[in-house]
Amino acid sequence: MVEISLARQCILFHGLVEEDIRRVLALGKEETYREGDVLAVQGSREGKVFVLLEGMVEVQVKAGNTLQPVVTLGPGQLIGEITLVDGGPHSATVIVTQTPTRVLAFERDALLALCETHPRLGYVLMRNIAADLGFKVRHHNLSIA
Amino acid sequence: MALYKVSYVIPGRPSAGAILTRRDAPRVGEIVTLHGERYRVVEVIELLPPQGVVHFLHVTLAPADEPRA
Repeated sequence: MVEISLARQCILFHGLVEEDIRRVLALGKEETYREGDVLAVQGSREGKVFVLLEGMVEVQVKAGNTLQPVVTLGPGQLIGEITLVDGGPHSATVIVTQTPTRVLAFERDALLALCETHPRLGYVLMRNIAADLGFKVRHHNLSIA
Repeated sequence: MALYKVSYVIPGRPSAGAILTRRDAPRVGEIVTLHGERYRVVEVIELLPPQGVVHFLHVTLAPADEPRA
């Protein structure tokens, strides 16, 4: 299992007590990928959420018949969180750009079930996810300014 | 243990930016490597007030071989 100290470097876990961090970590599966591997496909309904522990990924969106890069994400970042909060398909394709890239993968339904049974934990997770999405919006706005 | 969530932007190249979390604060003049290319930090600003140990920063980058202004 991922160590608490490593988890604390990921914004998803910010503000959680150790017991709650362990509850979330217990739902995650550590996975390792190589450059070129695909973590998520835009439009797919896999319902997976990832925390990037090590490495880099590139977020790409469809533009006509091609995929256009949007942003690179590094350690500590969330991937797929939009599908967690709105239940929709993945909003972008995510490609691994560094070998190795290690992630903690979660099933959306399992995380949501944990939020239901542990409301305070659920509140903190959702707050952190909202803050993460807000940061991404701010980044996007500054990048096109 | 402070954490720094950093938005890296390269003016004129909106898709080349990155978001990383690091354990040390970025500094003006620092060289970072993104997508295999070297960039120099030219500006660091606070994007949001810190929350606990987490700082939210915005960094503007310029190609490392570009003459300084």
